Amino acid sequence: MKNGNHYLSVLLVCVVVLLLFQMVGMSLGLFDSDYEVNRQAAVVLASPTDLAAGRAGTAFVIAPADEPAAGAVDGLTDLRYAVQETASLTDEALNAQVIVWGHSDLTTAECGRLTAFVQGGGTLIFRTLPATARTRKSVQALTGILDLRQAKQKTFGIRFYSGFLLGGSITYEDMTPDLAWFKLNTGCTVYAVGLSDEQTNLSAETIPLLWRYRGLGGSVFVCQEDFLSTHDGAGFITAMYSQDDRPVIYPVINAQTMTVLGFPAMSNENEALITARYQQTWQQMFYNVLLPDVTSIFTTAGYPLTAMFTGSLTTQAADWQIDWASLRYGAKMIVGRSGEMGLTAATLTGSAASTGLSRDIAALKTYIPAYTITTFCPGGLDEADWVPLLDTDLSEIRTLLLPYDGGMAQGYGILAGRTVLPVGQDALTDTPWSRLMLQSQETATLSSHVTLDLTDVVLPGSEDRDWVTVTKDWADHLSGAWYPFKDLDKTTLTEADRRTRDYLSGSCEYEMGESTVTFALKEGAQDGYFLLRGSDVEVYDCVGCTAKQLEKGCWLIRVADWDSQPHLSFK
Amino acid sequence: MTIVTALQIVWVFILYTLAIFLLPTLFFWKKLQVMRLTERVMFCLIVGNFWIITITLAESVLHIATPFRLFMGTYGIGFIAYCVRNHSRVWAALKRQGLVMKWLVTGELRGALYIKDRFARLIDKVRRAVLALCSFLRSHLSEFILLSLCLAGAVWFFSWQTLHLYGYGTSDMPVHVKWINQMSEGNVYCSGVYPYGWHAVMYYIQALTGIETLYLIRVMGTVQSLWIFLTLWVFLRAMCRSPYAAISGFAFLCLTSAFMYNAISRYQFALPQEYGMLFLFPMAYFLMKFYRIYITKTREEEQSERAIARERRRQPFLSRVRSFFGRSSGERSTTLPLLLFAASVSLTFSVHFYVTFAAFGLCAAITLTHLKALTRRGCLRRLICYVLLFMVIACIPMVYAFATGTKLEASLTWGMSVVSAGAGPSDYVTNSAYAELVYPYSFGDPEFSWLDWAAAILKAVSYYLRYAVSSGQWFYITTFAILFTLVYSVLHMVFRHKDLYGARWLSIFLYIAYLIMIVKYPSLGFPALMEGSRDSIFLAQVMTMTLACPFDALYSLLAHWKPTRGKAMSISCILCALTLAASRLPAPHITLADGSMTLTPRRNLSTSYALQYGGNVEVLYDLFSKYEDNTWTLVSSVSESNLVYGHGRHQDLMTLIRDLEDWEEGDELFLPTEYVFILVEKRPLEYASLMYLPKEKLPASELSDEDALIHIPHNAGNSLYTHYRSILMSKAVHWVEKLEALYPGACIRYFEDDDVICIRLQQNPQELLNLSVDYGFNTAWHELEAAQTEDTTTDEAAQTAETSADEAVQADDEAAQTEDTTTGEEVQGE
Repeated sequence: MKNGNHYLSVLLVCVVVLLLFQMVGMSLGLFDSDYEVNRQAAVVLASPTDLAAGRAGTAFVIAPADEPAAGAVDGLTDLRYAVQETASLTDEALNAQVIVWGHSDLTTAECGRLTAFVQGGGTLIFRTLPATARTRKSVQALTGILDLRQAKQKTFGIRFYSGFLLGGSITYEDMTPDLAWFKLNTGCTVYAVGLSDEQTNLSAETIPLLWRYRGLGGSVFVCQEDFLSTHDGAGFITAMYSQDDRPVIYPVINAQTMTVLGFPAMSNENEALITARYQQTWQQMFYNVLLPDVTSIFTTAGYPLTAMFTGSLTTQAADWQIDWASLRYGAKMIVGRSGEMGLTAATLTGSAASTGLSRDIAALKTYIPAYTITTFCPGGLDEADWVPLLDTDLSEIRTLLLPYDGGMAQGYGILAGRTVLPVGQDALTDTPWSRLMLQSQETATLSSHVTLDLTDVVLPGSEDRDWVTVTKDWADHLSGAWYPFKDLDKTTLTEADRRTRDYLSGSCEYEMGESTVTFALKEGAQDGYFLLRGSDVEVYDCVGCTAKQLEKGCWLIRVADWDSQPHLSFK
Repeated sequence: MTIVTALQIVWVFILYTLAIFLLPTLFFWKKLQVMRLTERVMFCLIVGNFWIITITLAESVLHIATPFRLFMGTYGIGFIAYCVRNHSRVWAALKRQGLVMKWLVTGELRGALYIKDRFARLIDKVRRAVLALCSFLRSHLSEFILLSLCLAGAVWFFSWQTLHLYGYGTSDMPVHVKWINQMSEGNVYCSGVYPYGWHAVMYYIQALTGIETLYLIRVMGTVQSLWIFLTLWVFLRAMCRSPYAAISGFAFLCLTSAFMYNAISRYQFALPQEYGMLFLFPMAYFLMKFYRIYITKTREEEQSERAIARERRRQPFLSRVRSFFGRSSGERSTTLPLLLFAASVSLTFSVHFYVTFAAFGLCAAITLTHLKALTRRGCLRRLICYVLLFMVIACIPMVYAFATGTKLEASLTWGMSVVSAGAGPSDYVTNSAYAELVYPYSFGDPEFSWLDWAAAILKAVSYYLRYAVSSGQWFYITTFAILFTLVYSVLHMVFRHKDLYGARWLSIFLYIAYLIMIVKYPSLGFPALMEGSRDSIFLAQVMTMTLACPFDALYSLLAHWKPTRGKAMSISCILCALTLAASRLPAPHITLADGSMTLTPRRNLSTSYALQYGGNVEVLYDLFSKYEDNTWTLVSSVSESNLVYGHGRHQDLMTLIRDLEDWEEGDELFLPTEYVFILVEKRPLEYASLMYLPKEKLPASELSDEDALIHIPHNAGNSLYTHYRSILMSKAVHWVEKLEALYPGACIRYFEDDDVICIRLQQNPQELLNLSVDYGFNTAWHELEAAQTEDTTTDEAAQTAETSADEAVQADDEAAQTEDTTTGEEVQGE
């Protein structure tokens, strides 16, 4: 090139070409280093061994009749296992895919048979640590224990690691069980630990609380504490199921509800105190003080307003105290806020007759005839008091919200043709146990039902309980226990009822392939929800469904009737 | 991956070219305008590299190197120097732009009009540049077509491994990657004092562009080889009278199987020594030019210079110093060639001292053939001053580091051991056959006549040439070319002594003689300066020139016989094309591992060091891009330990597998990161084995249970990565499979191809998984030994033992029952 004046121009052209090259490369993703990697992903419920042995999908819960493992049964049922409950280890049980051992100990013969079962590829779950695991070598060999370091060790809390129950890693500092301290064998994966308060434990070693042992061929899950007795322990089973080497999928409900019980309460039962504290009348207090705060908290937390009115809170309420005229106004206020109104009986104890349930139904038909109440919470009533009414006065009720009694009283199900939604938590009671059980419920079904009983406000048990302290506890609880699940669907009770019915009836069938899941919605079903879990599983192609990542390796799938053949791909 | 690699090669080529060429182009624009294209290329290579290396090393040694400071140190200093030197022009330009801005603000000039005008000017400049380029290409079309053909062949050939096998080829490369990464952390000379010129350039590119060092070095081999070949062609173009003769010689290196694999295989990889060769022939070019100017000086020019010198002596000291180094101007100025020559020498020293050894020989050869220049006044003095000055610049960073306590790097010690005479038989050439040829003879030994001695030396030379050049026809061709160069250059010097053309060719011959001499000639009393395999690389490079010599001589003859230059050129072009067509002579017989022989037209390039599979690199790319730094550990062969530096932890697979031997219950092995990637080979690599292109698979052995059963002693050393790699990998694969069985869910098959498996273990950092497992082959050797012992015992003894064992089992069962019952009662009692 003799003409040097063009040299710089050539360089400029080079720069432009360079930029174009980069743009094209980046747009094609050539510089992203996003290389395809091969991952094995099989997704059948059972392993090939299980399928070959014809035991796929069968489970046995072996527990004493007086100590049923309700959580285990619920969890296995949720996972579509054919569950049988027995009291002893039978030959039939040894041919199952999963055995839940609910007894507190096992004999040498049982240990040998269970060892053979696990060596054959079966999954064994110990509800609690067998009593002889501290001493007997054969049990230790079965449970993955290498050595006993201390027979009983005090703890100052327990910690569940992320990747097991939904909600991430959480430490429960108020749960302080005494645990046996074991050194575990190779092949053990620990999911929960106790935090030792041993002063000499300078390296902050933890005490295995819940672990899996794979050294024998199959899986053995051992838990030192009993989490499977109550219905809300079902999540532990699904969490164990999710620890497979392949991604797993199971149906869920995906409905979180929050219900205010006793709002409004029509009977004027404690006006003197209300007037003294709030300078309002009974009814004014509900609509001028409580309603704005309740609406605000519901809106902030993302829940639709769901309230259940009651005629009277106590059995002492007389008819003259009831201001039925304001019922219409109350319904207008709630429904006008896109909320839902239900009916609850007195939350304090009493009989159906004394709490005036029939009277309340009649008043509803009189004052708000256009609005049909379909949800009902029996409050403090015994089952015998209100179940017969389902055929008469409560015949229009479709959804039953069964109350919190310190542990979930009942699982999801159908009672007299009505959908049972179990209340897992009280909005004002935040205990480590309730939080742990909330994690479990969410893991199993991705649903929780919470109630806030206003009796504590209008009929306070102590001097320091008023609306201010109640709202503080409520708000604290909302930002604490439920925070990890803030992105899940919040619905009214009616919507939760629909989703629960769909879930119970298996309205959406699914089938897993190597890296795909295909769905089929049954006739009339609106949608279906599933949880896809696996180590770093990623959904990348959805047709007729949507996928949302809840946490690492956990995807919420919603199947809708947009496409005749909904399916998704994952890797 | 192949496409991605190809794009990365293009990308790195553009980045490197811009990094090296933009700097001198911007700031020495005026000087470049008066140069020929070939000179421009050499000028930019030398100045760009020297500038970048000096600034980068200075900042690194002072621990102040950051991307911004590197940019300011190169472009910022350049800009300030430009402004100071051309202050009046810069000031005028600023004033002009200020006026334009004023017009734009006051509305006297419409913004749209101004932008349109500037844009139109730019378009016009680009158009004219493209037209000029097209015109230039048109005028040299046939030459460029042939050159492109050669370069395409070279790129195809030397990028084959990078494009198809992806992995790093030699064990040096990961070490260099680590050193470059350490530079980015301000830790220059991390392993000791070493010529860091090449590392400085790589670090500069990496710092300013953000490109990952792993990618850069993987494809840089192809890019730097391309530039090395281009400079070789540029030098040949200056040496030869016919451009086609230059291409003919060049084609031998790029397209033929003329040279042995040890002479050319290192071009595939990004290594400092090869990068240093980039400056060898530019150095020779500017030294020849320097001498030529001195030799061809007229009496008037000398008188004028003397007058200037007298004038200078009357000037103050600083002005005299400035005048001594002088500002070059015009074609006849000796300062610029001298500066570039000295800078080249300095660069060879900055990059790799082996290249300096070669450079010394080349300079000596050129000086010997241009002795007349040294008789001219000031020539030798200036030469020494400039070279010393630039060598000091190259030495300062290393001397500073050494003076402040940094030790010499281990490979320098190795280099010294090679340099010292009689360093032992590590050299390839010092094998039994060679020793038989040379060692019996000793210079001055009365038992042997001069004739015997000369014959022995000739035999040794021929042996050495055979080592550098493929055997068969190529040996005779190259020998003929070397001898032809000698005869032709001497004849030319005798008959046309005023023309330096012959002297230049004689320099090449002398340089070849020097390269042959410095390997190992104890009989001559010469020290061994260089390892034979390294020396052959330089030898192959320079022998391509001698291969061009006969063609150039033919052209000269034709041009003399047919004075019409065009016709001679045409004939030369046809001859060149015919040469290219015929140059693909078959490679010699290659003896394969199984003893069979094959005759192949392919070039016999070997990978020499099959360091890792492509799968390893794919996994590394994936880890770097998808996982947060220092959250993962890679368990793999030692070759990756330097590559992952700064991104993740590395655990040597061999150490780990060795620790797992003699496994006992209760053994523990924890790796304290959330992710653990275990990379094992399904086909254990045969380390440092040969491979001939274009095979898709690297040479490898097979896994076997027999190998896995072999017990590894604790003093196994690195032999597990070389001869016994199949033992290591057989064990590792079983270990990995056992981990998959023990930790399902946590353990996934992350990557798998025909050659490697990579599993990913995701663990809770608070509850680490115990990776010390009984995988069946780390304790089974006990059983194997027991079985062997058992074989030696008598049948009777065996029967007795069996009976005893049965009894023992029964006793154990009973004891277990008793124990179970007892412990059960104890528990109930508690």
